[in-house]
Amino acid sequence: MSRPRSRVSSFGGSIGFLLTAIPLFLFLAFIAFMFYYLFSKGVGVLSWEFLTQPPTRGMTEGGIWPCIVGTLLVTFVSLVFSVPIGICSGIYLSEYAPDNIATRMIRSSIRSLAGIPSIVYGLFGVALFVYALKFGMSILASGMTLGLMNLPWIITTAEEAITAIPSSFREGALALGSTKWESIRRNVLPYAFPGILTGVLLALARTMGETAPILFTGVTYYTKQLPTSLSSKFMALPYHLFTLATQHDQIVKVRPIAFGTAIVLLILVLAFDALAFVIRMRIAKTNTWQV
Amino acid sequence: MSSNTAISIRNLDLHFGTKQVLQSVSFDIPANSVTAIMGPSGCGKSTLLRCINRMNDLILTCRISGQIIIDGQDIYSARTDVIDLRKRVGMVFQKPNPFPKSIFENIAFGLRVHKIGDRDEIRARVERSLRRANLWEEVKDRLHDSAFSLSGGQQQRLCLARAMAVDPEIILLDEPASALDPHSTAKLEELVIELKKSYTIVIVTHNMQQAARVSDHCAFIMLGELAEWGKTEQVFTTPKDKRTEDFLTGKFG
Repeated sequence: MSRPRSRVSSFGGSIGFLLTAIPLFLFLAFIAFMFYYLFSKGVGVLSWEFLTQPPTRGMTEGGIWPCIVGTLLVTFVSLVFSVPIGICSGIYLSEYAPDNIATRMIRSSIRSLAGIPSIVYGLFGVALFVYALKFGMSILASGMTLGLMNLPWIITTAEEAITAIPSSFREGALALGSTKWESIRRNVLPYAFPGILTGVLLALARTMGETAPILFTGVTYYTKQLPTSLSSKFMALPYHLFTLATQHDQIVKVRPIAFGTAIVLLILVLAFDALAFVIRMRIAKTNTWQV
Repeated sequence: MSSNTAISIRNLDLHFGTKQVLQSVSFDIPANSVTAIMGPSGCGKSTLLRCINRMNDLILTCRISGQIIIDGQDIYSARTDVIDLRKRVGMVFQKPNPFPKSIFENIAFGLRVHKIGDRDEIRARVERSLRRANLWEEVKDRLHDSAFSLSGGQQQRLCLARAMAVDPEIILLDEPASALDPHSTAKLEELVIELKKSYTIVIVTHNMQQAARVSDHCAFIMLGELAEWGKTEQVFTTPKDKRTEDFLTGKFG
């Protein structure tokens, strides 16, 4: 015969459940509403032409093809700059840096850099890349500004992915007569690679949506041509969205296009997040040493 | 130092920071035999073993004085190439540490690092090493499976085969059976005895019976000092040192 549960404890249990579950469901409802709202307002403009044509008639018609190209290109430039530096820095911090106050300060500075507002990176990008290095307003200046903003994330995820590899792999390789670099290259980095890639993809997804760092460094309101070189100005999805939503002289008329742009940007970002998720799941399956 | 001495340890002192871990340890390890290093936990026996292939170099606070002479050369002299030393002195760790690669690639790892041999040579050496480790028959049909699919005992023999693939003269075993079940332990011990024909073997163990079973000579370390050193039979039957006798009769340890 089981004793009936006391009222007090089940009441206490449900309070804890409600206190934690309600905020979560509120949040999920909010996100669901946002998706619903975006799609209901913008899905009408989505078409093959919308994705493959440039804007026409003062942006009241046509598509967003130059913005998609611009966003993908500037993100690519940022990664070309930040991925090699980020991975090397991550390797240094996890494998070579002595464990002392200086290293700990560097490490925590990098963590704090990740929290600096992106508009500050934007201003710094103007000063350094546009003027001091004379890149001008260009895809190169924007890409490098975004790359600087990315770096702390890539360094941190790379360092963590590398540190997670068991030290017995390093020791085992050294005991066979590997140099330190060989043991890292052959017996650490290959296993850290999926983790590093996940970090890079997440950084990439964030980069695509940034507006402030490209605002003063290279993005433009409207250009007829796709970028032809690194010194071209370019159009980008987030800035296009900003323009259509606040700067256009026929705001009401172009509103559906603004929502359509938002949907495309969202789908691009989610696609890379999803890719990162899939890779993480696959690592979890194959990394059998992580019991 | 007699002609068949493989390793001669002379006045070895070792500090980690300000803590002295080994104190003027001196003894000779004969070639083509099994030498056991025994002692209670924390006595410095693993540290002593790791001096022989300079794995302690990885610990920044570690200071060593004295000599370890292999092939007539002090391995702590400035002329020693540590990479070459570790190729000549293989090591198997306490916990089996197969790499997350196939069985084949685990064995081939050292060969690839040292750029030894072409495809056929590597294949031949992998087979030979696995045969020497009595593992070939068990794995020959699944060489390209993950090394993690092996049992603990098989993994440890894999690590031994991996060490043998680069043709060392000396093999260091750091409590190799401490993570294994009795059956796997017996197989490993059998193997160790067999391998002394080809290699000089130094095995660290806190297990006295194991030392008695596999070793020809044994050293007994107490609190960083060499308490006793001699033929295993003699150390076990007529220990000269009171501390050894107490350890062997189970008064501590």
